[in-house]
Amino acid sequence: MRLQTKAVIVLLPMVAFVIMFLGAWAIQITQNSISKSIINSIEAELSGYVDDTLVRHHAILEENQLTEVQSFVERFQKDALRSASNLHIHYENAGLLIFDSMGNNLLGRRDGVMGPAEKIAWSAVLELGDLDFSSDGAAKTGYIKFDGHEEIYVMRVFVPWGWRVIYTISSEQVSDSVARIRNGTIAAAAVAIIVGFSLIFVFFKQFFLRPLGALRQAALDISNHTGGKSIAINSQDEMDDLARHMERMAENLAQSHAQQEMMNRELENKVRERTIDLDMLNKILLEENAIRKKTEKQLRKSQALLEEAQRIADLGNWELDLVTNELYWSDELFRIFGIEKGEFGASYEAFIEVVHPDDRERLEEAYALSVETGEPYDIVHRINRPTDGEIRYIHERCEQIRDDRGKPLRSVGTALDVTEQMLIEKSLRAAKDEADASNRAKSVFLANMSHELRTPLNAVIGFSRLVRDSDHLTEKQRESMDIINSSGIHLLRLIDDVLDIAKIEVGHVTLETTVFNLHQMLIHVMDMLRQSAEDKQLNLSFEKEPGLPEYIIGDEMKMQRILLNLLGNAIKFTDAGDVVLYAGCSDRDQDGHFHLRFSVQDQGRGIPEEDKERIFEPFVQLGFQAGRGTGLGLAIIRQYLDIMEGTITLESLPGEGCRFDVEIPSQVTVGVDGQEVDRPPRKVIGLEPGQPVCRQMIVEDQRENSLLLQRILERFDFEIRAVENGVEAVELFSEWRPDLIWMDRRMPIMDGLEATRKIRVMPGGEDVKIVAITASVLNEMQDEIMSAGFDTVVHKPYRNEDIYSCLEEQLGLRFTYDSSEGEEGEGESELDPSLLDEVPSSLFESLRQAVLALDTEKILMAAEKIEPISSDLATAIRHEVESFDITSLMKFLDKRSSAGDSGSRDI
Amino acid sequence: MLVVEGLQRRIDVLLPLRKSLEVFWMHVIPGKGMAPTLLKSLFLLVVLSVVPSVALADEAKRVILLETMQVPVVRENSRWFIRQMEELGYIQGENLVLHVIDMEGDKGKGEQLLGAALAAGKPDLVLTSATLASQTAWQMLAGTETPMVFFTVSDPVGAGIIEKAGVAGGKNITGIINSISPINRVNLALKLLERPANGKPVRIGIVHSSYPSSVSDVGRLMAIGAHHDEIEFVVRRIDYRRVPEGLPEMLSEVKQVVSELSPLVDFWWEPLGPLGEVESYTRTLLENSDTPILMGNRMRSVELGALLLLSPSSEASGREAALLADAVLKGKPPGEIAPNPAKRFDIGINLSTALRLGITIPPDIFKLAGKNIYR
Repeated sequence: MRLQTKAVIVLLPMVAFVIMFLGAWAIQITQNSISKSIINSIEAELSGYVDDTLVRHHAILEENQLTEVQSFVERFQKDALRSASNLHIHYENAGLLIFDSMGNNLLGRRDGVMGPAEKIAWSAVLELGDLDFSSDGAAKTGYIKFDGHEEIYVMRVFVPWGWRVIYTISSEQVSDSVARIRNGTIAAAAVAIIVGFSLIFVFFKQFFLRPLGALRQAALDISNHTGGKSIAINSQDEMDDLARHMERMAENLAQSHAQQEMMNRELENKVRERTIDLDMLNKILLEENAIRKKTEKQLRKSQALLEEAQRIADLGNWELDLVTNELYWSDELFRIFGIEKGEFGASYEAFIEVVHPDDRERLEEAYALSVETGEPYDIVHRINRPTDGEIRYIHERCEQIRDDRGKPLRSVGTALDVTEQMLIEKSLRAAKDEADASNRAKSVFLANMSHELRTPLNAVIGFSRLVRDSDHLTEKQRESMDIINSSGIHLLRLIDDVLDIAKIEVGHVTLETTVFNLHQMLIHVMDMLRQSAEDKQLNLSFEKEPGLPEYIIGDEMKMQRILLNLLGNAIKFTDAGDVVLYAGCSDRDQDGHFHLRFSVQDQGRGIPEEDKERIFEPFVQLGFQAGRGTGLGLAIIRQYLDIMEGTITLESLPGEGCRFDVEIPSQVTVGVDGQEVDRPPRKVIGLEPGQPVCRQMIVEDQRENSLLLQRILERFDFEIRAVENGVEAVELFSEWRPDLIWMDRRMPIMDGLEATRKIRVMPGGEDVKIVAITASVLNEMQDEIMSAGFDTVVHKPYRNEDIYSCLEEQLGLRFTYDSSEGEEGEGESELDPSLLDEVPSSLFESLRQAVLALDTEKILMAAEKIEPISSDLATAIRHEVESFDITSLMKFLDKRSSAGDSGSRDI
Repeated sequence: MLVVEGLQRRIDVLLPLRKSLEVFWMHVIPGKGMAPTLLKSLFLLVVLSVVPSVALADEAKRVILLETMQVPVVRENSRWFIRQMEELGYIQGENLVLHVIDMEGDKGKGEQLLGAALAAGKPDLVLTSATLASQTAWQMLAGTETPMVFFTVSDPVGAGIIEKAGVAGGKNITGIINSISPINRVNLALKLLERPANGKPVRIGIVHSSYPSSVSDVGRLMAIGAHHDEIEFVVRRIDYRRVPEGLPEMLSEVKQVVSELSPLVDFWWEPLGPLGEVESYTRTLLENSDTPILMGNRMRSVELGALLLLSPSSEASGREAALLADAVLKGKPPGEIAPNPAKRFDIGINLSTALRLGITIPPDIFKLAGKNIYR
């Protein structure tokens, strides 16, 4: 029998019994409840009437003492009966009866019919005897027969008036209500049985039978190895859990089966791979065995080659076991030490015995230190070969081998026989010492020679000068004396060349730039060489390009020397024809930079191609030059050009002369107004009458520069005050209010830029003229200066005229100028000759000799001695020296000489 | 006048502090005699001068109560009115300044006193008790923005105070009508009486003054009587004279009229108005004739022998007037509140009179009378 059939057989009677039992029980309960409810209801209605009407009416009568007043009692009873007749009765087939104490029916109601009891049909059959008329006031309940039908009654007795108030209701009304409920209950029970059974069966089928069927099918699939499908149960209960467990069980079984098959396959694969690996290993072992044999063979060969290499390189190696003190020597080491293998004790002590006694201690210390620290050592020592007593130099290297804890185990080392190298080095060192000594001797010689030559030359120069200034000479003689003088000076400079070349070699020569008259320098050069050219009847000529600037910034001395050397060589090595000096320049850039170009061309013998480079080497003289020069000229030229970052090239063909082309970077000078100086400045001799007395403040941290500027300005009646930095300048400005400030740009504490900015925002700061003094010629620096609030710029080194010109421009001052300027005294000193009167004759003579000797050091020493006597004079002398204007200084001293001649107290 | 009123207001403020002041006096200024009394007087003067009047007025509601005269119904209604105001949270001197004016039945005096009070400052509300006060006040306040609430007025329409009872008038006035409709009183009376055997109507005599409310009430009773053949009103009017000084003269005249009218009527009916309000009027009726009083004008009449009383409840009138005043003080316009009678009324029965006359009182009248049953 199927589960479904069993379920029907069991569940149907069970459900029917339960529902029927419950229905019967409910009917009984309901019947009792309805009866009780109806009785309670009519009791309440009855009590409401009695309490609200009868009791209250009687209470009013009592309160007002009217219970004995018949009219009031009757009126109140009448009012009560009217209230009873109007009383609302809830139930159908209900009746209300009121009897007095005598049993007289006072009121009767039935189904809305009202009237005296005797007029109502039912009152005739009312069996009064069935009623309980006890007068205790409590409600009485019971059954009476009415018109052959049983009725339920409830009665209250109102004792003060002896009234019985009876409320009746047909018991059939109760039975009908119960019957309706019973029938309804039976119908509901039947429906409940059908519905309940259906629901239970559907429930049972849904939640038990169908899942069981699915589980049964799943179990069959698992047993047939066709499991793994999802079981269609999603009830979220134990059946669902069972289905999920069965699914996992099926999955696990399937996975186990698959894993087992995979493991079988892997096992088979591994067996195959192992077999292949074993075959490969066998092959490798065979190959390695072959390689090992081949390697051993190569090792033996390498060992033999190593030994051969060591023998060739005189390199041996050794190893000392520090634990056993056993010493191993290579064959080559035995050979280097000249020891037979059997003769050597093979220990460290035996080795030390062979080392030269003078080197033994040093070697032992180095070895001990290496063992202690683990650091390798590298040392050269000597040995006394025991076999032949020969001393050999050994370059020995040693390293220490240690275990993991740092304990030294072995010392390994190499020994190289460096005897031959040591002997060579020794001979080279001796040769170098010899060369150095020779070089020092040459320097000493040159120095001595220079000194010896300078002494007579000073006399030549000095006396030629004196003779030249004599009034008894003709113009021709005067020119000759000038040539003697300038040539002497040139010769003196040549001597200086000799010294310079030495200085150049050691890098003591530096670039010394100044502003100079290029045209004048070129004319001067030509003048110096014209006599030499005329002597050889050569045409010496000078050609210059238009636009060649007159005043430039550069190292005049070196340029002049380059041109003198080149022209001198050209004259020297040209027998007939022309020697030409070309001067030109490149275009200038925005900052005034350009390249000077000089060419010196002759028609001499020319220079062979192979000698074109050699001629620039010092002390080199070619065959045709032998005995005709120092051999320094071109070398100095090249060195000077290197310093000036210039170049020189040579073009020459033998027999046709040669041409040297020189190119030198240079810069035109820039005046206070930024314009190129095209003419020499005029000499200021005084202020025009009626000029204001100006206050001028000098802000300069360099005392010399400050003093120089003060001297320049003190010539006139200016009020001058000087400070050393920007802070002091700002303070002094607020107190003193100058008309013009000479402001150095670079100063400690506060520079000129910041000081100018501060002054400009101070009261009166906008009106004061501020002139920057700077050594920079860069335009960008000038922009920075002008943006800081300066009115203009004066560049260092400045000339007196630059300062005066600036005052003219900024303050509107007007100066008077020397009208004879240019006719004589070009470059003449501005110093007052009367200052020299204070200088003692001996000191004056020392100064004069130093000037004649062009010895600047001695000139400055003399200036120091003059300082206590006349600081102005000393400063002026220093200025002339720093301005390289020795010529002016000579002329200045000549004035004292002239004065002396005219009656000086010292001369 | 203003100074007196200001002093009054200061005292009103100090009244809540009275207990504290008494404690202060007992402990700080003990003893009796001249010196403590002077000290207490000086202290009171200082305190009165220190208490600033502005502290009272700004937050307190200023209310004027204009009373026609000090007759019992007016006093009783005002008493219940004040009690209800207190129960609503109004405290004299704190949030309420109630200025009670007794116009002593004199319209001119009422106008003078009320005018002075209005001149002292615009009040938040004017209350009037009884018809004459209400008429006087309304004549002064009609068309203004000052709200007005009347009570103890039996016929405000007839008195010209409002246009219609039970309907919001839209003006600055509303109130509590202090009367039971005459038809209700007539029906109650008829419920007790039985038509005489001769089939003639029961004759009821009314002696009333020319006081406006009295005239109005009697006029309506006569109109009702004209439509009922069971009763007949026999009316005599005397001139009204201001009470209390004019009362003896009026009573003397009443006595004369009662003597004349007593043989012609079966019962007396006390009229509304000042004359009917006084006990001496009832006594005049009872002492000068054997005719019983069917309908009294107040409970005291029933106590003295009148068979019935059906009148508005003084408690209800006073309390409902206070509720109206509260609503108006809180911002509700009087024009939006319909004037209605008080919702409760008083019934009184003199059972001795009933028994003497053989009249059976039905149970429902007993229930309505409650405790107002006298023997």
